[in-house]
Amino acid sequence: MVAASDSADTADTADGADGGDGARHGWNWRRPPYLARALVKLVLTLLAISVVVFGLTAMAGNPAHDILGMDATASQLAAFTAAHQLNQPVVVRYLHWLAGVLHGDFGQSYVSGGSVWALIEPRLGRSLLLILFSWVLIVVVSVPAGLLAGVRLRGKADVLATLVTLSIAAFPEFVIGMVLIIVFAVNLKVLPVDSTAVSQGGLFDSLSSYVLPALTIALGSIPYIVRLMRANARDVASHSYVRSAVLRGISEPALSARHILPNAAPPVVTALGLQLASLVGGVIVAETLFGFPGIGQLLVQSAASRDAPVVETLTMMIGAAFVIINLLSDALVIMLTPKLRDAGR
Amino acid sequence: MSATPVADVTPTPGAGRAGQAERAGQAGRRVRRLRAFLSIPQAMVGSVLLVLLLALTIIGPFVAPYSPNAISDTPVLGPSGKHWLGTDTLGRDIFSRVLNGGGSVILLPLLAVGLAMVIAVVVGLLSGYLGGLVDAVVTRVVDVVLAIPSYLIVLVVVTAFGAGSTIVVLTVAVVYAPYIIRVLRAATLAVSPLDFVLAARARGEGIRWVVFREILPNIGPTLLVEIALRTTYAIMFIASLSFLGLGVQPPSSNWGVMVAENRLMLLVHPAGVIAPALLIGVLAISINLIADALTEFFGDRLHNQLMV
Repeated sequence: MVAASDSADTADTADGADGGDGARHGWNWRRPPYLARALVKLVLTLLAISVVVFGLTAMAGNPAHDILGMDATASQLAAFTAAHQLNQPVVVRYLHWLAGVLHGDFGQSYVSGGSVWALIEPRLGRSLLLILFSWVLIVVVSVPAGLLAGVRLRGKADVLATLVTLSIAAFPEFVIGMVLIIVFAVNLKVLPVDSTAVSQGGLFDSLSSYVLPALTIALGSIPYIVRLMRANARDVASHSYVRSAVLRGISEPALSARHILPNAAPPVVTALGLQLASLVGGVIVAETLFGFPGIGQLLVQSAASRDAPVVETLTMMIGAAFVIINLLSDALVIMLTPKLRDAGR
Repeated sequence: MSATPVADVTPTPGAGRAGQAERAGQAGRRVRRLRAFLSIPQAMVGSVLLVLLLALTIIGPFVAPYSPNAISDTPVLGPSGKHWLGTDTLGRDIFSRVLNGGGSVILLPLLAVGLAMVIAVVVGLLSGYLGGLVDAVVTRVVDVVLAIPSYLIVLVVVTAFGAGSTIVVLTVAVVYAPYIIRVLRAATLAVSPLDFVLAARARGEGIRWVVFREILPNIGPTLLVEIALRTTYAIMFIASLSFLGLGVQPPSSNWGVMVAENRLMLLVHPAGVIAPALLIGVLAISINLIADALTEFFGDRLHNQLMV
């Protein structure tokens, strides 16, 4: 009801999601602006994740035995417990940890003894670059492919796209990656077998080592986005404005670009944001498979060696990135959809 | 496409109270419906592949030439008449390990999905049927769990409690339950206002009867499709976790573990990687095809809409 009265005022301001906002209405406590709601949601979600993550690791009890091994002496165990303040109550440790995180201090690794940030920092850039490559691959391949398949429904391109995506979707990422290694590294010998070279030299010195992991991660998500794009393009194509455009004699590329893509895009944008959830899985698997020294590999190694501070920090960072990206894609959808842009705030 | 999808829209009120004579008729109808289902190409191909894999998994351990963990020969031998797929880095016969390694690949996902399904049927149906506060709380909790990538949850649990198949099955069940709850809740919401549910309530049936005897049988198709889909995901997820070293532990001959172990000799002879990787792929494809066919067979609009 509030939204309806809003839309009458803002129909003429088309300059983005927050155009002419507080200035006209003042601060509306019953329905604060999108950005404020989003920020509150972000903070609450992160707090919830931090409680779950910290609570789970605390529930398992003192990890001293698991870290130091079964034949650790009592004094070693006591020293470990004291060093990591494990004799404090859980709530105190949680608040202490939270205060540290807010000051950029992520604590000490159980295994290396050094600071957690020192372990993460050199790996972060590489993983971000890898994710960026994969994500660009996903967008560049699946949006046109899905659009083409949806516009030429049941044509040759559609049947081919459906067959290929269904078969790729049926294989777990580590199997896809293994196939890529066998084809491109072992048989064709055009790309490196593993990505250990990434840790030598600067960020851009070993780009060939990024190709296969990025492809592996991308292939994990491409089938899903292609099918979603196809389904949306198909729905949009059945509208009368598309038929009238066809009757006006518009060419197919122009039809796809001007009429179908803009209307079919919003759910795909949401999905591309949500897809980062499965990208996390893809990154973890691909980095382990290719020996890529990034945060995914660190995460698996730390989980296997029960290094809770490292896992907690990485989980919080990835969780935060995930929530922020979802909010951004929500905002993008609102900007892309005139109906939501005018009424939705 | 050739098969006419039999949309199961006729509600079966009080299916639990069907008479004896009716049951005999139902058996005949079941055979006919099974035949109609198998006439969908995906269903036929998927079922044949699945039966072959199940046969391999069940008979395999009895016909394997060597014990899966016995050191039978020199390490890293290529394929030969004595060792069809060669030997691994420890000198174990890869063919025998492949024949033994399917059990946990199939069983663990089934256990995880089964457990998730039990949680989800109870929570999802009650949440959809009762509405109000229960529904609000369930929806919120589901949203929070869905907001955290599944891999992260499993990694945190493994960090806390250590790696292993039991912990992975339990965690995957908890991680997957919210997805199923969301679907079953939506299905329940669609069925609850229908006349046969209202009639049951008017008869004075208790909540347990209404939810499990009236609503549950009528969302059966959705449930079945969801089971098949989730099993596909769980197979891939748990195999990946075993590959990462977080699930089934060595010296098990689990196919995921085998891919991880034999990767070291990929350049020398890749058979030890290709065979288990291929079998995991075929298993996932077969159940994927069956899930696809089920969706088509029941004309399950819910799964098409949710794109899950």
